Amino acid sequence: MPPLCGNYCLFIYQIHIPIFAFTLEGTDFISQLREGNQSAYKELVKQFGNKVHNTVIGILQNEEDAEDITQEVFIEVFRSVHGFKGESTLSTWIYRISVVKSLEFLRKKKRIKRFAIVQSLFGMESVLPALDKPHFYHPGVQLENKELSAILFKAVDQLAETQKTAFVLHKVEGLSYAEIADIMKTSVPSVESLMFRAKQNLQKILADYYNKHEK
Amino acid sequence: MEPTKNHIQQTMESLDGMAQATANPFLFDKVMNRMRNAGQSQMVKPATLRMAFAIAVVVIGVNVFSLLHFNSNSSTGQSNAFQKEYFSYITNF
Repeated sequence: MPPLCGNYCLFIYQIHIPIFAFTLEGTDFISQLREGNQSAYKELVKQFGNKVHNTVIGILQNEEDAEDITQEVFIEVFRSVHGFKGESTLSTWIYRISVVKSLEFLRKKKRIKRFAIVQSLFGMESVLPALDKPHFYHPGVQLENKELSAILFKAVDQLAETQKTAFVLHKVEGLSYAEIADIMKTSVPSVESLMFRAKQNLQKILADYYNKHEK
Repeated sequence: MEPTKNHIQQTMESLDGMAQATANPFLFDKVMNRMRNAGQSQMVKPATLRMAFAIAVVVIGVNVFSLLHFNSNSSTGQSNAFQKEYFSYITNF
């Protein structure tokens, strides 16, 4: 019975359309998040989980830390969604929280490492964290590029915070310069300049690395 | 020098065509668990704080009361008489 089926399909279609056309940037969605709607939370995690995790893992270069900080990012998003004014897109705001949380975590880790070094210098007992970071293999890198990308990530880790952020957002997360400028609250030329300097510094670091390892 | 340049070039291009790292499939549940746990610990915090505040108020109150009470009594002849009687009782005992 084609007409009935047609109606039924149309009925299903009409029912499902609003769900599939759920715009994450819409004010309705944001107000649902503000009301603490669990299905809205779930949808947000579903849509942004990989994006947040990929950004965080690119900056932290550690899977376990990245998983922990990814969770913290979403907790922060749910807690502070009341204060989200909508001046930027939801996506930009979430990326910004991801970057801030990751950089805060790195700074904290560095402080702990410095404190442990000072303690060990004064002969106090402390568990000294490993100074040489192990190679980081990003799970999304092609198998044939694994070793080279690990060397590149080690070099990226030596960049200044802003250069590192711009590089990771562009090269790892694949964002445009305009999107990065929004996230970093800067202009597109500034991002271009950051990327230029990041690439120059990476080339210098890699040149040193290969000169040492080829001798 | 040429091999180094090639290595650098290859390394710089090693992230081209990479895929996105995927988050833990149970991310939502983990986030919700952490939020619930954080909520519970926050619920406990004000209660313990209130208890500590109440104890502090009682301790300070007792101290202030005893200070004012004994200070005001110490100057009266009545307390001196009481002291004399008390100490004479102790020494005679």
